[in-house]
Amino acid sequence: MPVPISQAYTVARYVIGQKLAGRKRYPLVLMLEPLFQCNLECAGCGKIQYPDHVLKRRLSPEQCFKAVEECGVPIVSIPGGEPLIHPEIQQIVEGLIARRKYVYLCTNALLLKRRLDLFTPSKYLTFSIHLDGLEPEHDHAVCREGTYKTATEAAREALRRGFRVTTNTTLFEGADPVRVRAFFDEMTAMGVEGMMMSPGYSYSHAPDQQHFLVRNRTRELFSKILSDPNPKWAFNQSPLFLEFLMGRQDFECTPWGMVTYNIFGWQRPCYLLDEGYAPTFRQLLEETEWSRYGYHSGNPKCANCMVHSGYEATAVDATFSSFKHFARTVKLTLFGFKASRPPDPGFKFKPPLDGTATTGSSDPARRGCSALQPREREASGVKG
Amino acid sequence: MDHDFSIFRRLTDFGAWLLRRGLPFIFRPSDPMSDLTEAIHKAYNYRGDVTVTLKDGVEIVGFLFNQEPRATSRCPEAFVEMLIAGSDEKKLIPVSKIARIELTGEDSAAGKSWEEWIVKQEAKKKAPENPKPV
Ligand code: SF4
Repeated sequence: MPVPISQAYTVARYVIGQKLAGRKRYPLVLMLEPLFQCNLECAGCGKIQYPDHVLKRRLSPEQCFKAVEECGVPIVSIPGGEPLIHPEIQQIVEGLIARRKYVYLCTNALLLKRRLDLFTPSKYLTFSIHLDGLEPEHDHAVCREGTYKTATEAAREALRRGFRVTTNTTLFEGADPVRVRAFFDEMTAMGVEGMMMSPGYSYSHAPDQQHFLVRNRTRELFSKILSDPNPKWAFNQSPLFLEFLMGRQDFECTPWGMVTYNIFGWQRPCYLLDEGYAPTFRQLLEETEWSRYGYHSGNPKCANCMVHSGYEATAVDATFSSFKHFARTVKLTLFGFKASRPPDPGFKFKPPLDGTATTGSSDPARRGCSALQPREREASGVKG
Repeated sequence: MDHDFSIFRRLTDFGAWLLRRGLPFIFRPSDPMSDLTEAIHKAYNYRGDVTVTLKDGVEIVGFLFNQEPRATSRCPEAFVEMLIAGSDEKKLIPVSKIARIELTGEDSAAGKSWEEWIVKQEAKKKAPENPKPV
């Protein structure tokens, strides 16, 4: 079981509660960014490209708790920047745990070993360590040698002390499925609780036909990685989402499923695109033109996107929306991807319904590591 | 007579064409609203501080982090929002009050794209490890 039963139960109860309450749009995860400052400087990472006075700002613990209470999610993911730099990260994590939130502290783990004493092992706290592959691939992705070694040492120490540890990996076009599988074997041998992966976000002005190619190449990559998997691999994410990446499910994005809050406010419309901010969660939900986003909106920025932050919530929602999807999730959880249909070599994602919705012009060509991609000017290639 | 009429028609056609296509190129009448919209768009996508000059002459320096092109519950008209450099203040500015916007701070994204990094790495690899003194 990749997540504790109590966590699976909490999520199930929350989703069913939202459905019974008739809520059409509800978030599952809060991406809480208490700061943008980082101790890495990955090329292309839009999160750290701000003037100094912005990078120096932090959300206070009270602001973090208020955001969590406003949106009511059961899971809080704390990315950044690097959250372990935040001087009050201990208070933030403790306050969230006191509110019985499942906290995923997303870290590059460079400071983790030194900061472990600040935290107490708990079923509510998971260190989600950013690793984009084996040593050469990861060090290349984050533009600094030695990070893989430091991060894996810290992960081992956290595991030794009884913390929950997962990895999160962003895969870009050109990733070698054989190397990715070797990386999963290595993480499994290290003893992590589960692994998370997502394709990087990519956007370009390329004609539509090419958009579909990118999407279908993503499917091919994930099919190669996940077909005939090592039975010991455990993924800390919805098996339906992994099936979506393999092209065995066709979902639409739910950008409100993983909402983002940071020093600017509630980010519209999703973790990746940065098209403005709402001061309250309610205004985010009520005043965002949601029909302009998602694959079938025809928005070119969404054409290639298959990221975790857009589609995982869809997969979780689907699990509790039909018996078919529920049974499939149970089957895949119990028996793994061997229980999944064999890959269909002829599968192609359907083109979007129309190509009319746009959100303005953009400059393409940018990629990042674990961070995301605010603002149009630097789309392409970030984790979801 | 026919011939004369044809010349006359060509002249008037040319005059009409000039008015339609040529004059705007010559005089370039500027549309202050669309110029401002463009400036807001650029400022929003800029990774440095900007200076907003209001119609009453007041200058506001900071990071423009939000743009809202529609009327919302926060403001009955389009607005931008800024984090003021050196203070905790977030300032909401209705677009109708803005005279101009300039990109005045350093661009924190300049030269830091993934592509530029790859080019630098390639150049490093190609460069001899211990260049001989000239
Ligand atoms: S960029 Fe991706 S996550 Fe964001 S709205 Fe578009 S499809 Fe959804």
